[in-house]
Amino acid sequence: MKKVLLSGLVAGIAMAVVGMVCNMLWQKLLPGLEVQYQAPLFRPWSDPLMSLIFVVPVLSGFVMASAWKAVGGKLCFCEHDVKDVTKNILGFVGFFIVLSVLGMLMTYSCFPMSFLMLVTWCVSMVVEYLVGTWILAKMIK
Amino acid sequence: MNYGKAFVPGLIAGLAMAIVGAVLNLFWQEIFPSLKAESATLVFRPEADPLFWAAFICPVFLGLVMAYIWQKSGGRICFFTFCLPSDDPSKKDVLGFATTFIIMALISLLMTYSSFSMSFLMFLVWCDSVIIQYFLGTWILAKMIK
Repeated sequence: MKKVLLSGLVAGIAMAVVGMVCNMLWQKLLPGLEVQYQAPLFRPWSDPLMSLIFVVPVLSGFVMASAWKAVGGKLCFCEHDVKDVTKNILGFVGFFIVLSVLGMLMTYSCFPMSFLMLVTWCVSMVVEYLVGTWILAKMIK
Repeated sequence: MNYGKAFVPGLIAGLAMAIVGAVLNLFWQEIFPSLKAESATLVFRPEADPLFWAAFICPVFLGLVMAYIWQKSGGRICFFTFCLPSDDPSKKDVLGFATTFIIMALISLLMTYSSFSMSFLMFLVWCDSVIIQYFLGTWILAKMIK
């Protein structure tokens, strides 16, 4: 349990940092995004609730750690040797990505955000999950 | 393993989840008229926008994904076995499977709530819908996929 909590915390913090870095990179590459974030659609940074976006990846880290401990590489959609760590990681990440992309599509259909923003969120999420799962695979044997 | 067999149960579970989601949405808007007013603000996509209707297609895709995973795992995909109350293995499968998806969906909803200027009431109503939809979808899958 202690190992799950510790690895979840490390993976979650890493995911939060990666998410922030990706967000900054996207805003540098695509300046139009920065303008969109200032629209009334999004919470301003002065709103304390906005800080929850840093807590959510940490919560995700705990869930992923618990999941990795419980099912490990058994989530892979393809048949493979469970000792194949790369396929274990890809299968695990794939599971979370499929569900998260569906959730993001739901968000996209409810809120008038741009398609470009949706794409940047999806790419950042894939990178975050890959980093988080790689850390879990290293820390939970 | 024949994954084609999971298609029909997934479609039915997905459609049931979409219908229940729409009914709950209407129900909560009747109970709390402020939700209806909030939905009409610029924060939300207007109904006239065709993309708005994708919100009803997503649960159907979700049903198909859940059916595929249920078929592959035999329903035993619980990430949190330590917190489940039932000793009955079949009930435990449904509880575990649904809880797994619910916790992940609630975390996504928390992210949405922290990013978008929506009210706490709207967030609570969405959480409630998610919980009911996932339990219903999982129950249908458990009944249809043996």
